[in-house]
Amino acid sequence: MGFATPGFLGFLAAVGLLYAAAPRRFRLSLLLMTSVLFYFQWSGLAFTLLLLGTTLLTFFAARSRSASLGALALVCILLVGFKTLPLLGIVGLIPLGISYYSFKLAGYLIDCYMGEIEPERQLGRFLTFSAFFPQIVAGPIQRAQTFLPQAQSVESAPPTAWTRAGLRIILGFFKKFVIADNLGVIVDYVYSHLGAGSSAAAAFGFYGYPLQMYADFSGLADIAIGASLLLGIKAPENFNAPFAATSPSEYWRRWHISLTLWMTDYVFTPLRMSLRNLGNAGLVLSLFGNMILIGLWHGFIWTFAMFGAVHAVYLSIDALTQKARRRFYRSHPKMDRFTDWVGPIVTFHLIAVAFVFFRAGTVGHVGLMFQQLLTGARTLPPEFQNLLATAATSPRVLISAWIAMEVADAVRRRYWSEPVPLMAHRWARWSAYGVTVLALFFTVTFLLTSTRESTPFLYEIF
Amino acid sequence: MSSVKERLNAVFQDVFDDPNLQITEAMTADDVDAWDSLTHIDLIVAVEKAFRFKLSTSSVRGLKNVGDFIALITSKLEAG
Repeated sequence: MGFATPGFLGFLAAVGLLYAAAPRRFRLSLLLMTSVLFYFQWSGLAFTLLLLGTTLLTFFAARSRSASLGALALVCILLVGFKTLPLLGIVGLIPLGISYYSFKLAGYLIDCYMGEIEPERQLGRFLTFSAFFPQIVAGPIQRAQTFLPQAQSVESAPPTAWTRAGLRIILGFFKKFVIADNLGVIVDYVYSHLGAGSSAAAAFGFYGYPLQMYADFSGLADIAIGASLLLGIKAPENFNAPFAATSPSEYWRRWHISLTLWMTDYVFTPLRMSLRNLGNAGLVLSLFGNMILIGLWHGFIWTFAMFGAVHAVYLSIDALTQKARRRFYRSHPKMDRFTDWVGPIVTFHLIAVAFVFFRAGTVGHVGLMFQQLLTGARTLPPEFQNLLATAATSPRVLISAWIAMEVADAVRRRYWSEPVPLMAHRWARWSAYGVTVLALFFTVTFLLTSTRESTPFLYEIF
Repeated sequence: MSSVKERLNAVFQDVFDDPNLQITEAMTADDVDAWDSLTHIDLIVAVEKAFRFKLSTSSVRGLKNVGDFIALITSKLEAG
């Protein structure tokens, strides 16, 4: 049972109601049992035992410094080992969610080793931290420091939680079913006909994929964060309008935020510190190490590593020219305002180039995609024209849906963390309700009229 | 001999290339435009150079604001 199923909504609502009704002393057990049940149903007995086993080991190992290192090595070996299996021809044998829970456990072990947090004493809380079902599918990668105190207090969900979580989950499904899945049809067509089509067709894939990925992955985060809220857990945000970024470094502060922060703390900073005597070379090496690892975190294939390397090139140039650019803008203040507008456009194109590596799967396909983009031909194959003329995958509908999503997200960002969000300005409240009703209507209509099988979220496989 | 804070202020002005920057104890990365995870290490390197000591990765991880920097530098200088 992934998130993109009606069964999940029923399950979540039932757990949410039980959580609200349960006396405080039973709440943690409820969260733990339902999380284990969810994972077992999703991933099978063997992988459930693996999750519980690694978590137990981490729990006890964190109490001693040398055992922490041993457990850390084991968590890393398991993660790397399972990710290597596809290279050996063994496919389909990867524990779901392992990339997420391994990072949670590894971060916890490092923090305990460094003496930054005290090892958790209560096993039930720690197992819940590792297995918490709203976050095991695809994050956000929440830190022990912010999760464990909440698992200790097991507060009731705030009074507005059902409205807020409901709005947020509907937004997530809207992003997934109306935007991501339909963009996915277009993108899949382009990438499965590489080399044969025109630049115009390739452009749909080039521009469509980053948008599909954002709608899909941020939709997944919306559901995870909304679901957490119903269960009394405030989860960290994973996205903050990434395409508004004016530079690649700003983009990474807005995209998959929990992974970026994790990598910054546990990989980039230690690496950069140990290479700091090498000056700029140390900076570039650290960026390459960090970004290639981010690429490989998604799976051990060349194009993921290249995706990371391309981003490392961007970030290196960004970092090395930062001082000069700042000086330039200080003496040319008007240019700074110009860049505020042009920056996001340039950044989006850089991001889209990197995403070609992410999507293509093989180096050959990357080459074909860029070749096709540069042919200059404008004709679209009839089959592709039909696709664009179909209501669900027509640019008209997709662009309208995108605008609705951005409005909903902007309102949500403004009022999500307010203490009493339903006290928001009347216009904002009614816009949020209006967009939600429309989103719900569109999502249901699309689900009813769609003949396609529902596809799982893209980030559920990592 | 100027105070730790004054010397640190000069380091900040140099690293962020802003002669008007005035640090306060409560100042965090959010308050300084260019202070991010990349320039944070530039800051560490500049502090090491200016105050002539080496900092460990673990001591650097806890630095959340300028006050933490001043406290860390002071304790390092006192330890000799």
